Amino acid sequence: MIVAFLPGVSGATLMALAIPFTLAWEPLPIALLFGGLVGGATFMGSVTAILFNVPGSGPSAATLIDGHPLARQGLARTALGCAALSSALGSTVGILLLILLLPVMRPAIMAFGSPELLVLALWGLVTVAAISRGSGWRALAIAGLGLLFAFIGHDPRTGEQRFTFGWWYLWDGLALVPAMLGLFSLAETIDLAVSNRHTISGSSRAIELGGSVLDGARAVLRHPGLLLRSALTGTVVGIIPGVGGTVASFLAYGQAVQTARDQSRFGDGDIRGVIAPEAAHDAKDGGALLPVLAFGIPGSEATAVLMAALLLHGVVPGRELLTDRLPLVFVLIWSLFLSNWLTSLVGLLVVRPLAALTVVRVQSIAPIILVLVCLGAYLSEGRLADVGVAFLFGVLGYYMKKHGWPRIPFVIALLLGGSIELNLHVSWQLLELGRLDLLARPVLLVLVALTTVSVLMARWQPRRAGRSR
Amino acid sequence: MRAGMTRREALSSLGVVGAAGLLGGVSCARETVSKSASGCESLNATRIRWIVPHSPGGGYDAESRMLEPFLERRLGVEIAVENMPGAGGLIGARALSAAPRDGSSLGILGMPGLLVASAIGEAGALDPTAFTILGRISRSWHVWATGRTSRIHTLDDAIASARKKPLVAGISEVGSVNFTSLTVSASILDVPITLVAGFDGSRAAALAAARGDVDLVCFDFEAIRSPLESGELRAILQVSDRVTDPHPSLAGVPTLGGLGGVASGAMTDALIELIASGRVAAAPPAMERALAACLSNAVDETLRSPELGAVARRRLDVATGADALRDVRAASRDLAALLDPVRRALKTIRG
Repeated sequence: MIVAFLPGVSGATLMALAIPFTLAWEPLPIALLFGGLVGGATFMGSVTAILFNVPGSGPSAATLIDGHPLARQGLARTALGCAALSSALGSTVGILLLILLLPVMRPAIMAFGSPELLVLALWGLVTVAAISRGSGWRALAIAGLGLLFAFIGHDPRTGEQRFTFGWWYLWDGLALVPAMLGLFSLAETIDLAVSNRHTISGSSRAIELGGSVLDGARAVLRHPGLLLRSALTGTVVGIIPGVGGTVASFLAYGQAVQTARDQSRFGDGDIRGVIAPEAAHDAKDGGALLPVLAFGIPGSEATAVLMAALLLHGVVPGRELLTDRLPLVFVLIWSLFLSNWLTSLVGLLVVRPLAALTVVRVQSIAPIILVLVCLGAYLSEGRLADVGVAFLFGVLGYYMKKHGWPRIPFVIALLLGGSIELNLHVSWQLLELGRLDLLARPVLLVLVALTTVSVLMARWQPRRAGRSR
Repeated sequence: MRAGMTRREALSSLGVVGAAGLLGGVSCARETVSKSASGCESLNATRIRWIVPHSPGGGYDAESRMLEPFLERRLGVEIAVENMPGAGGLIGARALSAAPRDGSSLGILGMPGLLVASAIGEAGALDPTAFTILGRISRSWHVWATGRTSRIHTLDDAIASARKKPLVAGISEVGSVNFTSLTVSASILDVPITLVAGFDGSRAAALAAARGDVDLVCFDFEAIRSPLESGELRAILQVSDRVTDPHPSLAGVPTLGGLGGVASGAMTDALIELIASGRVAAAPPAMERALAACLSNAVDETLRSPELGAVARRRLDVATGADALRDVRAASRDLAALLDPVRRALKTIRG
């Protein structure tokens, strides 16, 4: 928990760092460690997102959309309490779904091929562009710009370099974490610094802060349907190898907005905007274990490191885990479950002192946020150039905010652009070779329907005016 | 007279005691590392940066972190594993190449990938033989595999099927070692293939084969071990001159080198040499001989140590620095034999 407070340090990083210390261990304690590290890291990423608008990891970026505005309204305790309980409950749902899906894990994973991944990514893009405030054309334009940035790097089909200008740094494309840190955290910090606000919350004393941890917890219990839908989204996305928690969080956020009757407060501190991404983010870890168990294929970065650790100890992930090593599987599951709840409970204990940080004067807190942003940008891949990128995007993000251009469609396009292009190319090649029968893929048809509904809902729902985010 | 300390004094005292304890502990720890090591006297570095040119959690990273504590003890120097992913390993390799030659930077490199990049003239490629090679850690032999629902169960089935209609083969990165292994071995066996490029790594391609979207994939055995074990994939050919692994999924699967006939020749030898060059522990080019020899000995002793063997339940395939360098040079020299099919495949994809 403590180390994961640093932006850019994820559960996977912690697990990789721990590998040398586990060489003499048996597999069971390694499974316990995995659950502890991964479960402990996710909530802390949300803490920095809510308090300082600094996402601790990619998935936490969706939490800050409504989490930080709540902190600015003096409701940091409510937001943190909500995040803690959503996180724990989302993880629980993800684990339950994992256990329920075990008998059908193979068909569940096999159902998602390149065409399905393409449409899933398009759905994510369309959803987020549709829910953005202000002009729809602006959202589409900015999403287009995000896609252009996403194409920097190499062509997935030919392997040739594109838009890198011979600069090594861009060979694998633009890194998402520094871009997000800049667009959200740095931009908001600049805005905070030039504004008239004395503190993040606007209050100068902790006693003036409103809200409470209980309010946050009650909010989660008042929206059971949203919690379940978001956890389901997270679990399903977690099952698909290589998609990631960031997609899960934003997809869940998108569906939360689209299915809400009153959307006016999203982006301005709607508690539902905290429940959805938090539940999805933690549910994803349960889903990510399914491809490990079914095929020995990691479903996420964290499970990739877990697999490496297990392989070093002679345990081959895959069906063997379910036949010869069933106790190990359940240790993994329980470890994930308990660590999420423990993290949330411990997190709740420190909510009050953490929330008090929102009454620290801007002159004192802004430099700290700046340092966190620099650390987060550097720690994500260990490259100094990422810090520069964060600053560039920080300036861009500030001007986008100032002139009413939404930033979320840009981030989502940057995140999903690579997947869209890659899966489009593969699907097209397979289609040309006659290897795909699109009408015989039910999951694909469902995803196409969901995407169409998202587009139509965006057209029919009244455009929401106000500040773009 | 004061009866006792004030709170501030008590806290200050605790702080001093704590700091002293910490410093003492650190000193003892460092002293312990120094005393137990049979280190290189010519190594001036107090800390070694071990570069891993791939992300945490992969094979390179896992092997490095497995080696780290044992090599630390042998050298008597702290080793810090640093991941430098990007450009298929080239970014990390370039960082190692440009590092000072004083032993403060070492790393793990995948020689097949660097050799291929250099041979086909990829931008930014390096000369792998220029590195100071300290020892070979492992090798990753490649395997042709089909999905469990595929009508292709054996290599003969694949050849017969390809005669009617080219096999559809899934690959991830164009220009990678897997790409080279697949195109060259298909050329050797005269098996027409159509490449579907762009899968997001070996896992996505393996799933596509298991699903039946593609007929064939070719990846290193460890990358697709789990799907092979679970029966989702079926191995039909080992791209090697010997049995890759005494694993049930490879029982009875022919090796390219053992096929004879059209499969024997310079191209087969060159391909096997390429893959056999393996993953090596390396230092920057043109390192001073005494230091290189000392580091090489330390790496070799570590790799062959019983305590590493006890924890490395996955088989390593070690060699001394001199033997590993010899293999890399042989692979580099004979690479020209492989370029024709690779360039033809690149032309088809890139136009």
